[in-house]
Amino acid sequence: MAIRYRRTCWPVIHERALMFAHRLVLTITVMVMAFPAWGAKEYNLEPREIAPGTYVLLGHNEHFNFRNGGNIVNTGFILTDEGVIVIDTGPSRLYGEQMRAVIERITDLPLLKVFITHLHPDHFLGNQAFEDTPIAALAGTIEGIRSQGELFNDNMYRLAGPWMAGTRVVIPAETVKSGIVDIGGHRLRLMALDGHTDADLVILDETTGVLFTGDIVFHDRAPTTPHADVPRWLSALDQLSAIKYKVMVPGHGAYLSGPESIAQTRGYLRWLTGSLTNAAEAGKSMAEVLVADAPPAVTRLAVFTEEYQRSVTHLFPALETKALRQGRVEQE
Amino acid sequence: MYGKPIAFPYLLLITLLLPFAATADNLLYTSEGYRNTRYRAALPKNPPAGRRINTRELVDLIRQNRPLLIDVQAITLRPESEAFGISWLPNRERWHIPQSIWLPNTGYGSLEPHMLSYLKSNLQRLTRGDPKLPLVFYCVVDCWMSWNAVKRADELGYRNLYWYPEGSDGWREAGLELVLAKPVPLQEMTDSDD
Repeated sequence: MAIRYRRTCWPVIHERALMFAHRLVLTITVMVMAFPAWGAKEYNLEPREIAPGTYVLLGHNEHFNFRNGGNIVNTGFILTDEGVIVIDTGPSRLYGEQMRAVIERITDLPLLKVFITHLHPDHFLGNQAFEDTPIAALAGTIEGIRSQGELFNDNMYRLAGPWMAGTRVVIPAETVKSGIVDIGGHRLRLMALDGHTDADLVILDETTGVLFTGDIVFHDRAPTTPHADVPRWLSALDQLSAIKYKVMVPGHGAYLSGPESIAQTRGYLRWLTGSLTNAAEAGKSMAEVLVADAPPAVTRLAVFTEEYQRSVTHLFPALETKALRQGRVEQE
Repeated sequence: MYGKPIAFPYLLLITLLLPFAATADNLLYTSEGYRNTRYRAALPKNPPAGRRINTRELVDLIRQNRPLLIDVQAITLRPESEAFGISWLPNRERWHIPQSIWLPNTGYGSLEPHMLSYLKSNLQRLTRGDPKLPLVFYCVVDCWMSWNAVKRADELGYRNLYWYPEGSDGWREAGLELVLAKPVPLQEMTDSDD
């Protein structure tokens, strides 16, 4: 290959050296471009200690996609004197394995128990990595995972693709109910609530004051409603308002010590059902309702537009039927 | 001497029931044993016919035997309507192994007649009627469609089959180059205006 050189102030470079340099730059460019595709996928789970011995792994405030690999969820673990309590296991086998690796980097103590807060796929599809540990959940959650878990798994492949490789459903084997359990010296108050789904487990660690709310509470992120019973959900939020805690870990969004996220979730649900009910009673169609007319407090929530549209499909049909049945709407 | 004839019907019964043992839902597999739903799930170790290969082995196979690489990744097929002709409608770009042929949707458990003839005629064309030409079937990781496609090719009489279950995901994980894919048109697509 002929290389022409201009007469410049730069020193004359030997032809071979120049070709080498070209090739090196090209190789580095290709390597850098290919880099995200190289090697195993990393969720980059960074544990944050929010109370003595209590850690959370915060998910991204996004919808499931191929970039986040389904990591949109908050999971956590508690180090007791006797071993580790795990709360929720993430969206895939890979997440569960990487979460377990995080735990094992911090402590040699054995895993004592895994609690699954509810049946949504981002909370339990990492169970495979914890199969040697008792995995516990409310009866409604276990039944839900048994009947819908495979469908969720299949759907997660569509949303997160290769991050799901090798993931299969592991159904929690232990049923828990409301009550106090003592694990490794931590006094846990288990609360069987519902509203986000038919069975939502909320856990207060009375020893540290940390409240794991599961998806009863969303913080700065639009709540999801595929299995929601909003009146029950609002009642659950009222029950949480009465609890004294030091730190709250919502299912999605940053942990916090104040009650703002309870109020925020309540406010969103009230706005959502109020707005959709008004629209149904005004005879609006689903298409008209899909474009939200929402206040800034609502539109600023992460993933609002997407979640709102999904919620319309979840909730509007029943509200339409109700409005028609109650004779509130003039049918054309 | 006595054992065999007595045991055989029980063994046959168990073998026939095995696909149903996987789940209470017997529509998971068709009566011919093709996976028919929930295509994204962990795969079995063995293909229904032919040999299973990993990325390293596929690279070697490509170098030595020049096999046909058949990508069966599924996309939407928009049927013929008043306003539009029949058309492939991918909702995202498909990147696959270089020199592959993309025959979408041929990995489904049940194939309608026009899809079966699409698969048959393309395989016939590409192999020039040679049932011993090496064929590699793949899609993406943990996708039963590639497994189904191997089974289908076996039923069609092809005798040199390879199953690459890691698919385009495995290829990319190994740091190998993928190329932008174009689906092979159906006969009906070339008949109408494009």
